[in-house]
Amino acid sequence: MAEAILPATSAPAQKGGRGLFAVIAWRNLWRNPRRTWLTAGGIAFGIAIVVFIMSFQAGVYDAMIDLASRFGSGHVQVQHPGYFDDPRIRNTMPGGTELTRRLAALPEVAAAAPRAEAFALVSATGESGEERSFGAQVIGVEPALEAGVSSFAKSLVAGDYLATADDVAVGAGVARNLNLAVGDEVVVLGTGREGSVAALALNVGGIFETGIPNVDRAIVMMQLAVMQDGFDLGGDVHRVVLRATSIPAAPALAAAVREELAGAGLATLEWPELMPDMEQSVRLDTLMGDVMFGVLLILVTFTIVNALVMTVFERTREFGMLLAIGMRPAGVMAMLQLEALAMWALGAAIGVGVVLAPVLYLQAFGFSLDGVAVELADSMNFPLPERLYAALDARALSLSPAVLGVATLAAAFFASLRLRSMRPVDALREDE
Amino acid sequence: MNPMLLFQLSWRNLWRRRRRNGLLLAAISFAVAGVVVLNSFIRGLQVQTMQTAVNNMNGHVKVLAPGYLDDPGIAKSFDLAKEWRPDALEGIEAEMVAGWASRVRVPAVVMSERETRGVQLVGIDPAAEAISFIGDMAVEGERLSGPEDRRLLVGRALAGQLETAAGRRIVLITQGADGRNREAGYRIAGLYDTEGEGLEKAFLFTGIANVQNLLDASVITELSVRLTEDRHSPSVLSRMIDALTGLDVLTWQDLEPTAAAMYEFVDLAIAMWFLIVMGALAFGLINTLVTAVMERTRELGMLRAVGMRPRAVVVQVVVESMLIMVLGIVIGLALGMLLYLPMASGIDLSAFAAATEEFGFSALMVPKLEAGDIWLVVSLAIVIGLLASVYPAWRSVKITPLEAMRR
Repeated sequence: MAEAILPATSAPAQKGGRGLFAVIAWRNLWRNPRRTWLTAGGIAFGIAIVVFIMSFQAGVYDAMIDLASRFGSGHVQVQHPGYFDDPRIRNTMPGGTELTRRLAALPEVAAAAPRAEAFALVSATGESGEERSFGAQVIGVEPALEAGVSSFAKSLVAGDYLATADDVAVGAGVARNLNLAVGDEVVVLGTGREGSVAALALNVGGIFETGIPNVDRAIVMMQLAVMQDGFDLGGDVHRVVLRATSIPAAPALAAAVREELAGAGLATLEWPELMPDMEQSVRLDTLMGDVMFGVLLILVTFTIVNALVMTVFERTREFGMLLAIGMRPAGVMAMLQLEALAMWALGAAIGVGVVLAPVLYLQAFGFSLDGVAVELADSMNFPLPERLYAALDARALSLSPAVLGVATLAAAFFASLRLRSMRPVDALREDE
Repeated sequence: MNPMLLFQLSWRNLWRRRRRNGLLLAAISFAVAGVVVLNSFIRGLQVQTMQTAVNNMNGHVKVLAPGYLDDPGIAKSFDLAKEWRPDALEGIEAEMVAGWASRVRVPAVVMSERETRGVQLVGIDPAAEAISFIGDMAVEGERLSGPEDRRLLVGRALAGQLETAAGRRIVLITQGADGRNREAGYRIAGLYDTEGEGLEKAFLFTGIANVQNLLDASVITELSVRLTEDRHSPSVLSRMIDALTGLDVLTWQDLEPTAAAMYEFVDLAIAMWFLIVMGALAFGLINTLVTAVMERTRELGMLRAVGMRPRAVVVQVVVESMLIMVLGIVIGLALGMLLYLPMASGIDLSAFAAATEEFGFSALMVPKLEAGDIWLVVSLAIVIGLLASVYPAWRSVKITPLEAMRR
């Protein structure tokens, strides 16, 4: 195409021709600087908003998932294959300690901890002698390992975390309901694996408050050995909870665990299965966000088309002349494509440039949730971390520039269609 | 200058550049339609959040004994006269109140032959529960016949965990008013289904008199009042606070803070979303208007030379901007309605059931178009149209006859 306006004599000339085209396209852009700035501004606006919101979404999702995983499921779990659908005490895995040790040795695993679980009636006797009882989920853990996969130990509001075999750690809601303080005696009454009565008299060693009411109201923890003894579990456990180095690394961890345990007849579950509400919230929110980004980017595309249509219209005489001196319509269209591309590059550079500093700042330092945000987070009954960080990933950074790049080229093509039917003589006669 | 003449000038100017203005019109229409449709989604979710919270045995206003929320149990109870009715209070009209229901709700442990679970035992008067989800839930087997019914309604998910069924017996343990545990066996009348499994696992229903007998107490732990319209809430709330001294009178927002936070957040989200869309639109609008001014440099200069006031030029630009905006809004609203109407009966979100339950949405999302939102869209679009015409109008005034003639 470039050869059209320069004699195609030699390779260097052709090369120079292409360079010349780029120069002409760039200069054309600045013949109407106001329009170029406005259009590039529109592109920059769209890109900046989408990149900012997307990197923020990603950061908040990661924080929410990670935090939720610390008060329950972890990133990946190994269970008896029937336990997930039917969490009853007899669906256990033998050799919990060895299994945990074996999984912790995998390079992908950051931390691993075994758990045994049962439902039991927890009772306490108040000062005036009245007995109160409450149904709770009892979890047996190895305190040192559990601290690696969950944050219960860090969420204590009183006492310590299962320091002795006689201790239980209870949620703040349980403590409120049973009127418990550290040092009080509680009786845990349940059914052992073989149907026998499990009765344990223990002391409240610590009270934790996670901020998730369903957890604080329902959970009582004790040492794994005590639980296994009291509930006839032998050395068996119900889950081994694993943490990966990060949320995105969880699938690789799960794959490694599946390979390690191939043929063992155990189920390996990942966080989306373990916390379906969390996974779906993220998906629903992503979907709604994508619809909004779509509307916004289409609007910006309208702006680009409009600007290019105006450009083509104003330069009818010029294009007529180019066609009259022998340039092919395809050559003129190619030049317009170059102009559009340059405009997009300008807009994208501004948009990304403007948004990069705040996003990188928020990625490095985050922002603290105070004032309204804390109130909102508190009232959401959902634990939010103290600081939220943006997470700029390749998708957030490239999606909107790529979409608008394609849109810009399509817009230039659409705007230059009228060149194909343009007759030089008529075009030259056109008033300015 | 004659306003009618100015209007005509602007109108004709629009038609001089059909393709360009057509594109701008399309952009405005698209923006307005997009905002209207997406707003109706968000608004729909918001209304559903509230309805789910109100249906969840809260009502608009709920009365509890002080301390019940921290320590739910029969110890935190109260008594109301049998003939007590909210609309008997001064200032509360009968047509404000959709209904009310008294309940006894206590924590309990339920045991079948195989399993043990912790639940909330709720004693109800079935006839009064049209105000909550209990009234519309599907029941397999029999419903409760009245406040004296001694049988239980069990959630399907809980029945699955307990491996029990309608007609079988299960044992309940709960704490009586004296602090001692009561244990009794009851027959299951039917299994109920709700949208998510959360409610099914949490609540066991039986007749209110049955629970009162079990606990040796003739008191209630809660009273919910449902109103015909949300806007009556503040006045009913304050009347009930005055009338029921010594009790906690709370709104659904107090009881379901997650839902309330979502509800509040929606207005902010709508406003931000709107500003972003209109901001994007403004770039195209300014671009077009400036071009329209610049290509008429000669014409405007000539008009100035023959005595047209600068103000008239400004008005022309602004009227042009307004015309195209109003036209775009009308088309956009029509387009928005066309998109909205087929979806008005609801969109299936059951793929996200666990999430929708978590946030109190129904799995069938019914979008809601509110007159107030349409007015907001229209008025803000007009404001943006005015703002976008400032720069082009200023540019048009700067055109002098001399400059124009030279071109």
